[in-house]
Amino acid sequence: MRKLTQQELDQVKKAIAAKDLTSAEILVEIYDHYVSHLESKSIGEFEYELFELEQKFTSRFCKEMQLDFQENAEKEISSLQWSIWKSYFTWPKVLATASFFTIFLLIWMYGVNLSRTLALCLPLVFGTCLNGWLWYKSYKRVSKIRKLLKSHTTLESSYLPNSVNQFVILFVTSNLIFQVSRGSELFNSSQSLIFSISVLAIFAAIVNYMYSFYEACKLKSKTALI
Amino acid sequence: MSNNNLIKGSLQTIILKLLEENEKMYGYEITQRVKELTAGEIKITEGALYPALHKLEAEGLLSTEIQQVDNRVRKYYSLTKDGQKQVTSKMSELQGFVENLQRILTPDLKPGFNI
Repeated sequence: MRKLTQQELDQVKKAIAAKDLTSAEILVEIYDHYVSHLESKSIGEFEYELFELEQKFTSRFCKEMQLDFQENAEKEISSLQWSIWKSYFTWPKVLATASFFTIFLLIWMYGVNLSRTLALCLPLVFGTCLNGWLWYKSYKRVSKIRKLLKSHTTLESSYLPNSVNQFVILFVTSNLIFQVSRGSELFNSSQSLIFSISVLAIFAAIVNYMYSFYEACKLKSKTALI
Repeated sequence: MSNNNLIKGSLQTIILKLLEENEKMYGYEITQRVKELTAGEIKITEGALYPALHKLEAEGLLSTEIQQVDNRVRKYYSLTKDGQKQVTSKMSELQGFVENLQRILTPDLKPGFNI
């Protein structure tokens, strides 16, 4: 076992960067495999062994592996989210859930327009901030890896798929609800009952999604790059 | 003769068994451990190992841990509680298969033969 020279490490980084991978998890795993293998070989064998590794970890194979990993990661987060969502209705968490919706309904029934607007917006704004914080933390962790591996591609954790898109969708929807809630006359009219229920249902779905997504990623952050 | 095709169906069991014996392992370490245990007779290819590890992780049988090692990041795999439960059933499934295979290859053996 030996340590690779800086020149050899740069050669490994160059070979891996050429694969144009975007998943931070896959990149660190391949890099560690290359370095671990090459460290067990002598200086004279370096070129040949690197070539052999390149034959095994072809660009196509790495991209397929990345795609599979991203799909699996997405499923894993969704399944975690689902189990977290279910836990909101089990003891003792159900108390918090019930309290939240009771307060929300009371404000909705007896509050003035401003308090109704706040009741809709605050949980959404808070949820958006939590998710933004999660994305920022992951970005910082992945940035270190990008610098270390001198990667020129946009690296991100596979556990935050389309994180920017999700962020934008949540932000736009939050704003939409905010704008709708400002048209308070609609809510006061008895004819708008179905409309109000629809808005509240969307609100509940978004709040649930935001918080369960945050909790799922927080759980996974102990073991993944998020 | 290439053992790859013979190994394919039992790769997940091999990974689970190795992780039962070793608290945590990383990808390259698994390939080397198999090579060492079989005196180089069985070589797990990277093309099969990593997809299998990722699948087991997604199924919740393995958990991962990221550690900084010598200025690089290493991903360690270990068994989850579900994974620990699966090892026994996967092992007896594989042993049963090997016994049956043995009966086919050596028909003179008595039915109660155990490997």
